[in-house]
Amino acid sequence: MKFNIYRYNPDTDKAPYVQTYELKDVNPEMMLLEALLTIKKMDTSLGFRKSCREGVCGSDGMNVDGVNRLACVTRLSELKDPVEIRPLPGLPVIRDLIIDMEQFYKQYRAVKPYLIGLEPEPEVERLQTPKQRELLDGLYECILCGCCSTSCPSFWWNPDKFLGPAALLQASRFIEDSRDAATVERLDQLDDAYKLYRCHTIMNCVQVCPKDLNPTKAIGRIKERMVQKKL
Amino acid sequence: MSGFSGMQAWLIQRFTAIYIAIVTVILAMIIWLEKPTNFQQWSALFSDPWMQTALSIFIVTLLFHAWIGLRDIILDYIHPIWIKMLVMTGIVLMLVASGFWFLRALLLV
Repeated sequence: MKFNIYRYNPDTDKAPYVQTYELKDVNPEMMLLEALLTIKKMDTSLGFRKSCREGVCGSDGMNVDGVNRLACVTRLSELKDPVEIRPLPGLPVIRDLIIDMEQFYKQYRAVKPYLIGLEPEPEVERLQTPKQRELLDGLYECILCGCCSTSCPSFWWNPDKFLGPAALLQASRFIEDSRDAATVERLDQLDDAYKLYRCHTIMNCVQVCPKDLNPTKAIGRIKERMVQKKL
Repeated sequence: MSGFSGMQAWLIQRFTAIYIAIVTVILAMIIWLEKPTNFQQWSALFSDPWMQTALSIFIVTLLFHAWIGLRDIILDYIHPIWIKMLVMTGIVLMLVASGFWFLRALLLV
């Protein structure tokens, strides 16, 4: 099986190029990450991120045959031969498949992804009814791999102003949380022309999310909350 | 700089869309039923006060709807602030002028 992999080392290469590697007798049930690790044994200069190798840490997001996905949960049998591998699009490349995710994290931090205004401190834990807890399903599971935001054209055009699907999913996660006291401030913060409303329901985010989450729906829920607040 | 908050623009775009859709369908039905063939018939159709009111509101909603749609494209793709302002000003002038042109046509029938 052939792998056409994007290579770029800004210290030594003038421009990015594609390098082809071939693995013989691959097990089709093998994950793409295992194949990349095998390739790395052949060519130690190949750079990519990985950690948990089971779709939990979100380190090995990459663009495989034009679709953003996690290499560790992508079976080789799902892919055609040759496999085209590129870094996640829209963010600067540090080396090979490793991208600089600072812009992504900046937007994540901008939504204040933590509970605010928890006063007074309760004696025991902060209780939620099962119904209140249910509202967080589909929001809290995000692993911040960046597959969604880097597949979003609105994020490509305005990565500094539009928060992107991942950060907006987190915004929704804290807006919906019954224990958070800053719901109004959170909604006010999002009410400008760029942060939330550059989303044009393109839904690439939904298509690529390796955890099967739905950022578009979360964005719709934020819009609903905004209207409810106004009324 | 865009005139509306994010939510206002989003809501206006949706509500104007509903009005535009309804009036367009009704207008098409009226023209299809009345089948005006000469200027007098067209003129009579559009000088009806109900029609004039509905169409006056229609043009205002249409212009707002067009403004928000075009503004979205500008916000997405045009980044240098001066070019953005220039294009936005040009579009506003064009839309306002079209609005006056339409209202004048409506008053003259």
